[in-house]
Amino acid sequence: MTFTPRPTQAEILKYSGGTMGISAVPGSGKTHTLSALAAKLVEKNTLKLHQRSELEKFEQEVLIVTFSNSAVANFASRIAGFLSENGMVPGIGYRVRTLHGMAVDIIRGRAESFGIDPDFVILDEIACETLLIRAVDLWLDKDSHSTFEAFVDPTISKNQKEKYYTDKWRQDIINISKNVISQAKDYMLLPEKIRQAIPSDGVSGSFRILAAICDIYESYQSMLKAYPALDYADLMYHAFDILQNDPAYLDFLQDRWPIILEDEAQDSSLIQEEILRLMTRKHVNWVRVGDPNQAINETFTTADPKYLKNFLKEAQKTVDLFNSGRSSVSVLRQANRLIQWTSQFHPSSPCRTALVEPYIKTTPKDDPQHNPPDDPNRIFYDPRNYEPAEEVEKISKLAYEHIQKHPEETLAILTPSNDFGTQFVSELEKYPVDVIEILKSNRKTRNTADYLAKILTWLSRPLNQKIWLDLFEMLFHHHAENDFYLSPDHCKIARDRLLSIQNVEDFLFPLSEEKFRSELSGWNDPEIVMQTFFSFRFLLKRWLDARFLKIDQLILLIAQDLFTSSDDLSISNQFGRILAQMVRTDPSLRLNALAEKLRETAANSSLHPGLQSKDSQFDPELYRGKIIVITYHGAKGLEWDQVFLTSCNNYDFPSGTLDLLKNSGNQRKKTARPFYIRNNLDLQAEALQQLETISFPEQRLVYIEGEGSQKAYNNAASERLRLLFVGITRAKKGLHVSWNTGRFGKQSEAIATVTLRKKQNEARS
Amino acid sequence: MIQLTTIQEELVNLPLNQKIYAEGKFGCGKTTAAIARLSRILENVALGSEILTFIPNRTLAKPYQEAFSSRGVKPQIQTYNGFIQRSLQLFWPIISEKAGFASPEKPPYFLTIETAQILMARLIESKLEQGFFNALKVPSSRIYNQIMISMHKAAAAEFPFQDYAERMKKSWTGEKSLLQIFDQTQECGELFKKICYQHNLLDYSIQVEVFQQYLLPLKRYQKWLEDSYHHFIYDNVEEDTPAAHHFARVLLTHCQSALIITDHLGGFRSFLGGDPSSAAELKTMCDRQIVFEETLICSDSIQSMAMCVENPFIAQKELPGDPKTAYTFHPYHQYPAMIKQAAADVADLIHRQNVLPSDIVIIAPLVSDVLYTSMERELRIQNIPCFIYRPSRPLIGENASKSILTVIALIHPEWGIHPRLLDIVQMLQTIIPELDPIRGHVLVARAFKEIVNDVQEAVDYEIKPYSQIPSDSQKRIPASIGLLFDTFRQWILTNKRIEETPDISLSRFFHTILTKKGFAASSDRSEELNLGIKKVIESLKKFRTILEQVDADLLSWKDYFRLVHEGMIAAQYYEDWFLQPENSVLISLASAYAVMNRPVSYQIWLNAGSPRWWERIYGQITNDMVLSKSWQDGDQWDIQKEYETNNESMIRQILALLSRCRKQVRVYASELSESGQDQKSRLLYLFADLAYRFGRNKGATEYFTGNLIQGMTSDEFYPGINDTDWSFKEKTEEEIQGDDSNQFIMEEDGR
Repeated sequence: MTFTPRPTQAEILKYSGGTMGISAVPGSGKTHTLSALAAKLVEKNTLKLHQRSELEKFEQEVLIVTFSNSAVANFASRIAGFLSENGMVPGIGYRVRTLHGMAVDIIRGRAESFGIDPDFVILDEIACETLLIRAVDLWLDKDSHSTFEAFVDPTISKNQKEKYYTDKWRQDIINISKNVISQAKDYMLLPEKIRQAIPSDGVSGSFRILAAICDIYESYQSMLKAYPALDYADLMYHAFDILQNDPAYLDFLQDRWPIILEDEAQDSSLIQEEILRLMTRKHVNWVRVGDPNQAINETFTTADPKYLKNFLKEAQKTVDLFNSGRSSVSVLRQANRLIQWTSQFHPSSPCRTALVEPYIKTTPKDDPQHNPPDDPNRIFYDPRNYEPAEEVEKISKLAYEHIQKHPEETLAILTPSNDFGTQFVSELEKYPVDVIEILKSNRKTRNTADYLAKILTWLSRPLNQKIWLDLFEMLFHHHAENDFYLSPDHCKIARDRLLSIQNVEDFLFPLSEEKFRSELSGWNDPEIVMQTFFSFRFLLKRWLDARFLKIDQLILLIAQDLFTSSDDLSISNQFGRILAQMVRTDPSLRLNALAEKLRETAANSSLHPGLQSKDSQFDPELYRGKIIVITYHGAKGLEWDQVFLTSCNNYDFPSGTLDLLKNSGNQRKKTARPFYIRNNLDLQAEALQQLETISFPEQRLVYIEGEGSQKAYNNAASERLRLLFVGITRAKKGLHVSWNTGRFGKQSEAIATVTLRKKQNEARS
Repeated sequence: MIQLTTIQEELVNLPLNQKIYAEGKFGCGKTTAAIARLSRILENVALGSEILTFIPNRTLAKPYQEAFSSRGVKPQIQTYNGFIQRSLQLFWPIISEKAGFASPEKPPYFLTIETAQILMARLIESKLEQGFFNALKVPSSRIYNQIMISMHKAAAAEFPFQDYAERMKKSWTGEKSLLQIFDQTQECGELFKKICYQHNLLDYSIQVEVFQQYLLPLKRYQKWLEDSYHHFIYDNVEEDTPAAHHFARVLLTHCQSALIITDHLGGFRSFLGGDPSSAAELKTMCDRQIVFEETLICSDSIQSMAMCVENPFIAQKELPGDPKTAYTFHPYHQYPAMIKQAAADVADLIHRQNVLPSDIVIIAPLVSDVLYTSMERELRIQNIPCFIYRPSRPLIGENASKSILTVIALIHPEWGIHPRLLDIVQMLQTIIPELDPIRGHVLVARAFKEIVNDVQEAVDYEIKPYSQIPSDSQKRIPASIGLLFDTFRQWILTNKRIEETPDISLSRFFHTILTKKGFAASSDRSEELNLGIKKVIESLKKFRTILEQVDADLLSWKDYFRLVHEGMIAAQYYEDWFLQPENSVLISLASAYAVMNRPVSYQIWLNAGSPRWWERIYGQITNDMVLSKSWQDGDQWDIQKEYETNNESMIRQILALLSRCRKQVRVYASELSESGQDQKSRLLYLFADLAYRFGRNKGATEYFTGNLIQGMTSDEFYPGINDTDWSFKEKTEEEIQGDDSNQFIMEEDGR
């Protein structure tokens, strides 16, 4: 793994201690540089300790924290590569973790002293939501209509009100609670603390929505405790709590991890930043790398790029990784124009901080990673006002034709939502091309689930011949490409043969093995078919033997028989874990019910961390000549030769305050801002604003109704500008931008893409 | 006749009135020497009944039993606990009233860990409802168990349980809100003790307390000891408790001769109160010390590896062999790949290198069902049988005992345990070995019908005879199985809601049904079932004895079955590993193997990346160290102590494993755990350390600096940022569409 660093990268590799902030533009090789730095530090530290025979410090590790599991795998393999090359033992002297993984390590080390089972269960989102729904229902019973009445738009008719209450209110409160509770944990606020801090006019007065959520939060927490389990936000909460309250442990960890390298630092939240601050307080060796322009998780999580921005100001050393060899000059031009226009000319002033310098610079002439050859014609902004279905049709066709013409290239269609992505997937079925879908639930996850679900169903009803035959076809169909697979003709022969077997036990457990063998010899089926029968029989008998095991253990065993790829195994592991949680919540669940649950889970796999195969290192380079359909969010960290950015309208990419004032009727309506609420209030934003007011009393914030909604809207508009930036910088050679008029035909082209389009046309002319 | 080594000879031939303290590592021949000395005592000066042999647990009794039985002598091989139970029974009338039992005229009843847990669960039910232990995020079955263990440890370390909460609180450095759990533990423990004293029930802690306070000081008892026992042998003393050591000191003063044997690397029962440092104090009471230094088991390379682990600074020239050849290390990313390869390597040892299966042990820090099932399966493919040893598994976790409990559930639906149809299939397959899973499914699906008894609020099954199930299904099941099924069915019907206790029913079931031809106990592969039945019957019997002593509203069979189904920790009834078939590979927990006296040539260490190699057995309220005799008042249990303790116990365990290995250790690690999570253990660092010391080039190479390109030509630029004028002329749509160079404009596009 030869690595020839550029001067800016070399500057980073000189690091030997202190705080260092790195602002890295997309495609600047930050992961590789950071991995090389980690390997260098590990080697230096290990050898130093050995030379001095300081074996008690041998466990010192360079801690590398990042945002996603895929990044962890990526870092781990790169660092291992660098170390093995130099005769070091890979895996020793460093630890790569997601921030949540780091929190698990911290908690596990002292769980016992803080009342937590070291084998604690981390509930996935579905299970958490089940508990949250119960908590919300308890609250709704108690609250009756009163909170709803306090916020509903008084101009709405009584009948309509009732309809909204029945159809919408519950779901909206669930969504709002989910995000507010998560933010409260980020601020280290437990329900009691919130209740104490709410001004005395709380219930009837201005903090009413927060007071309501506080009730829900309280019952949700007691349900988690009864489980007993932690949710994802609890991990950070407990890790911080333990570090704060156990100075000896903190000191121990500070020595165990004397250097911390943090990637994707723009996605850190307050509590994550506080944890890392505590851990680096003793040795003050902290390297933070990120791109504030790629902070696109604020809306879904408690992340905020301001922490990285502040760090970049305070760090002892800062380095800008501004060279990028990923994209052609024309693509980079679009990205830089977007930064420049946003920061200087965006019509809504709060949005002008959405994107910041450094601009992206091309790579030097003798750099090993040249920018791809430039072809300005491969940048195209389609000005036409398509209806959504038209846009899907048009772009699908263009994508197909492009890949026909350039089968050597990689290509992706980026969509703002999973649903819109699904429409592309259906449309692309018309074309003879492989489509790889990396959406809410991808085919791979569904296939894995389907395999496992079919087996569970059969184990629960082993006498059903149809299920049995389905199972056979699934296992040995030529699409399955297992060790043995059958051609369609052979499959038919096999199916007919199996159909002729009256009872499954005669095949699996013949009363006389001898008779069975002689019967088999009379079948005269092709050798491959016979082989398949033996394999099928062998597997079924093994699974039958294992069916008394606990569900997670059963799934793991089946998966180990079926799959060899790490993706499949890891997804199966996750399924096993999720089903075991379900059984724990409802011990009456039987295998067939679990099979159904498995399918449901697969259909909503985005809710389960670890169920996405992308998380197991999706490599776009493996998909040349195929079409990838992916969301803008999912595309972060990936790159393709040709990228289609779709739906660039002012619903998905709003322009901020200006839209709100001019044209509020057409604006993006997030679920968190129910349209039946008075004064255009975003209840979630209002609750978050209230939470912020009480969390930072030293700032003497005053809550004014409506300000939170306004701020949330600006933040969302800013984040969407960064999302567009992420979209643009995914392209290596070609970029195609289009938009649609939305479901009701009222949306217009996003202001940012209008500007970029005009600039591009002007330059071209 | 075994040829003894010089040091063994020396020990055997020391005068028969000496008190000897023999120490050394495992595998140096200490027990063999002790048995030879025992023979000499028997041949020369004493009767078998005059020799008291103490061992910390029954697994260690076997070599002594064999030595006694070969001479036709009645053995006196006891654990401390077994001995004091016998003493308490003998002297009960003298001490019971003084000790404060409510009915001194009635006999004592000894609680097992199971019966104690059931009683505890019942007694503290209302306390849990009040919110006791809410601060702990652990299942309640673990709470019952932990309260019991905390009482045991206090008794074992000889401090009054009344001091428990104070001791724990003083040592605590964790979350302050958890301090209340120690008071709650003490309150629950005291309530439990109170009820026990009212009903003459003695759990382990009460047995020890009463023995120490009321029986041991009695002159009469000491006289009895002096008259009865003249020679005392105490093996593996380091695994026993300070209370046992206290008693040993008394015996040392009374006996003519004594032999105390301690293993340097022992101390694996600290979770049960075992205390090597208190054991070491016995040395001062002995006339003579002998140190066994030479291993009779380990090869030079294994010895060298052990020396390197023990002393990281040891020079290579001091080693008797090459530590590198003592082990091989096999890292994997995925867990299944690791299992597969380990199994393939075991097969290679057996099939190609002619190693006996019994000369291999597979060790893991945690033996889950997945590990066992997948390993067992991989070995089965290679035609290699294996045997698993997992002590203290819940009854409900074992196939045989679970099936037997299902039988009880079927005759007693009123006890509220409603087996699933799948459980019934499992039970039928266990008791009728000829029944396969599919026919079992057919049979259960057709013969069993659920009926709800509203009056008793119980769910029951109506069971049809074989002859009455639909004829198409009947045809699928051989009549021979139908006959067996009907026999079983008839027994269930006859015994439904029977008044007798379930241990008696089960015993009858075994003798009248299971031993019949066609049923499991009559087949030649019935060990597992027989053992399961023994365990369940013994468990039921113990509970029944207690049930007979207490009021019906205090405990019932319902409580028993509820706790069993909640996965209550089982008492250790039989030492299963004696049952290991000769030609099989043993699969064992690392900690369990480390206390077995059963060396092998090859050890397979699985899952070296698991933190379980390092962590203590979990328990906030039962901290081994704080509840030990050596804990100093005012000390605090913080991360430093925890780290040191974990480190020390891991090293001890590794050395204990190595001392039981003749030729080679094969270490397998996977980066991902069984459930796909990243994992890393301290053990990996140990192997990395060995690799650096003995296998790697230490030369530092700056591989980055050499590659730095300092003087790159600076021709890079920022595309697009010179676009200062953002007020541009709008290009019309027509203009764009007219642009031929744009490859994305489609000719057929209608616009």
